[in-house]
Amino acid sequence: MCPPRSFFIETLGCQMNVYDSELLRRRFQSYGFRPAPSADRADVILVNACSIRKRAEARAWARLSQYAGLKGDNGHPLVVLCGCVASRVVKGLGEGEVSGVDVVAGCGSYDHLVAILDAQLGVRRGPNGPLVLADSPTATYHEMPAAGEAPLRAFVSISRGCDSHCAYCVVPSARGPHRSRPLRQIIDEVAALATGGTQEVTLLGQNVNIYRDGAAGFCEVLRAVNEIPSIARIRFTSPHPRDMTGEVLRTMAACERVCEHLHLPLQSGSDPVLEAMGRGYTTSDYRGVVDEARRILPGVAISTDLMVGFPGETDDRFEASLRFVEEMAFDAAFTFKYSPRPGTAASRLPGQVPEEVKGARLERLLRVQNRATDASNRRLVGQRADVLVEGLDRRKPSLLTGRTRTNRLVSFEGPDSLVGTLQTVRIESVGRWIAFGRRVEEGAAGGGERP
Amino acid sequence: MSRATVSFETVGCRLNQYESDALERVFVDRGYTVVPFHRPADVCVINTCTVTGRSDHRSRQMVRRACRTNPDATVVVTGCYAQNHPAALASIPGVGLVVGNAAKMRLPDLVSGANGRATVVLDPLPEIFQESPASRGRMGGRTRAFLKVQDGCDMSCAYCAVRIARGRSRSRTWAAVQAEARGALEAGYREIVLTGVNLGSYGRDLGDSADLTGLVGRLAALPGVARVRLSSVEPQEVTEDLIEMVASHPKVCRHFHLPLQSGSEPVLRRMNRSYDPDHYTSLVRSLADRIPDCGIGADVMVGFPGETETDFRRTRTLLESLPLTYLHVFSYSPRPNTAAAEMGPPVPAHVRRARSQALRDLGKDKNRRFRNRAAGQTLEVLFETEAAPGRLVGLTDNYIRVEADGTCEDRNRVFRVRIDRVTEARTAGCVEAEVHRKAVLTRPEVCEEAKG
Repeated sequence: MCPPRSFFIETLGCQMNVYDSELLRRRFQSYGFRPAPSADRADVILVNACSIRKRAEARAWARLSQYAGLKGDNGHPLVVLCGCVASRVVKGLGEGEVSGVDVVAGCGSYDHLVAILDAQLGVRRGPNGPLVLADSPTATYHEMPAAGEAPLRAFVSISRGCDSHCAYCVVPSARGPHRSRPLRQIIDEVAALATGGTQEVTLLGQNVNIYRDGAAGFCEVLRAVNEIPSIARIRFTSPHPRDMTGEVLRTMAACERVCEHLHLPLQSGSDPVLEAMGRGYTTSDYRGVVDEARRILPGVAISTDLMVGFPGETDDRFEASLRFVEEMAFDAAFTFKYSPRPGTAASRLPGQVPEEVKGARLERLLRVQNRATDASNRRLVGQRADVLVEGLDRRKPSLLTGRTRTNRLVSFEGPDSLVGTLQTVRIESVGRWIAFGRRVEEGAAGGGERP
Repeated sequence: MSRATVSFETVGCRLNQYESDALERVFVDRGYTVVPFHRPADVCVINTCTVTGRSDHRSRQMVRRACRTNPDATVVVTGCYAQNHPAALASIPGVGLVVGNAAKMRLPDLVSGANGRATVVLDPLPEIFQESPASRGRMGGRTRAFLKVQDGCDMSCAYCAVRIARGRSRSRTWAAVQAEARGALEAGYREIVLTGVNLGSYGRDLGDSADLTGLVGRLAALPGVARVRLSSVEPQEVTEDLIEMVASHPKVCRHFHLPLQSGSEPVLRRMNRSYDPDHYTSLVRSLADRIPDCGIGADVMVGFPGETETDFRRTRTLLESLPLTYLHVFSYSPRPNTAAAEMGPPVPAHVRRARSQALRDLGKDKNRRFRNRAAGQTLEVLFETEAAPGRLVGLTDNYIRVEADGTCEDRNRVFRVRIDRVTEARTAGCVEAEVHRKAVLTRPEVCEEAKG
């Protein structure tokens, strides 16, 4: 029979791409492909690329041209572009050279991608150029088998695409309209992961709040996943501040496995900027959600995404935004400089902000946020926290490392055998990115499994 | 500016033909003019079939022809071959779009978004019946309306690539079936032919105790319908109720088409068919006993992997013994990604040819005998087309094609015809009287079309 074929996947970008790569890996293996140890030893090289910012996409094209250089006279190996960059190429929005690419596979083509690659191996590329697999607006591309050993922490998508049309964002053009995955399939996938050893799942959707399958909304998803035995922790990303409800917060409080952690992307703390972005909420709406979350979920950690330099962000607006960020006292934040993307509404807006101004604003924002992060961390000292032990500390292998329910990284001393278990740790000191603590022995004062 | 033009070529079954018609209406609704396939067009659509290796070949041939004769057109390939082997089709120089079964009703949108790169578009195959977005207009000057009521199949016959291309079985709701049937009857169609991939499974997914028998009864009760005809139904799906319906209802055609595939039990088992030769035998005998002069056809496949001379002899003996009135004979061809494709060496081509010829001869013989029995009888014929000036051809309810004298005004009407001559190729008779079971809806445009 034919020799075993091998694949290599390089993933760039967000959790959704990480999850999709995992699905594709499973699908490759179900077709008898083996993972290759490196790209130069693979029959198929797949670049799962991100186009959220210009630099991310440029990196993808650089990788592709490097991989195309591995091709011999027989056209081997097959070079495949997928992810958001591919979806944008399908729509004529790509910013690179496809000549070295054999297959361009939009996100909505993953259901049949591996079957097609399997049939294409050894087929010389015709005069029609790269094979282009368009996105299906109805595909949810998740019916890929989850089998065998599963990671301690895993992603599970609950929806695909996005119906919000934020002015800066490529996701709707890359990932298509929002469509929810059937609840039954979500439960089945989480159950399969749990059987394989997964203890923590992160539910993924561009906007989890608009999930709907018949009568079931996002609260029903949380409740259903909360019922699955041996899943210790449930997280999700991202909710949309516009669509976030008290009911979701109360459901989080009622489901003991759902972590007290809310990643609530703010983007800007200036009302005119939020309006120009088309976010659909004001700072006052956002403050309402945060206040309610802190009231319903005591001890909740709130993190966010912030962007500086959106077109029309004047000095005054930036100052207002900064004040609002300070007021919110976020536990953590991801901060970005706005990057104009072809085909988006914002790329055509007047009032583009010069690069050096963006850089200066980002620095100031970071200073403000770091103070908030440090303050949040200091409040941890002396507290007990449940830590899901992920492995050995990369910098100090004598220590174990894991995360609290509020998503803080904690290191502590303990035997390797604790990896994969939940431990109660008393926090003794904190750095900006990691806390240090001491394990509270089982049976010692109040060391419970979960709060 | 002149209107954009589109041409169609359909390979394969009635379902494909039905879907091409629906697609035609989708394009017409967008302002396209439909032109014949051999004429230049802006968009050429080839609706392909993958049931056998020959269907694949024929499909590719049509695609190449379209690309050759229309170098500037957007050449679009859809249908079952496109669904199962999109990359093979996308690599044919000149192909613009390869569109799977579930996405094909989006074709006009996809054509307007085409960017010159050969692009594959596959939507997930739906779990529930997909209605076509087309208007329900009158379709060409036809007499028998093929009505799609079901798609997909939940069986897993070892040789079959169609279920891979079509997905799970799903049924059309009565509301949608009724609306289309009424539209067809108002447009003048007299006979409704039910089509689907696995007709016998109709209703199972609708969950309101709908089934094929109920559907046939409801359609036969619609005003203006002269006939309701079944197409292929799997032997294990023929229920007592269905037999009773066909036996007793005057508007339901005495016609069954029952795929046998093989008369050898071990072969049927390897094919993963869910009946045995005994079941098939008793079914056909019971139909023949209870429904006098019933037309009963069978599909038979020769050369399935491992089919021995003994297996073949069993099939032939069984067919000889049964009161079948015609046969459709197929030579097995391995289909990629099916279980049978892994079942060992094929039966040599010359053996397959000989077996196939033997069964075709048997089928001809059976059909001739059936038609001979009809000689002297008076049967009801729905005239469809003019074979020659003053000479009409139509079908009896029990599936005999009959010729008789008549004018084009007699088309699309039911007459009692006395059969007086049966030859190898033809069955002929004399018109005795028109059948008026219900007021006949007149269709003056029929004759104009015939003249034009």
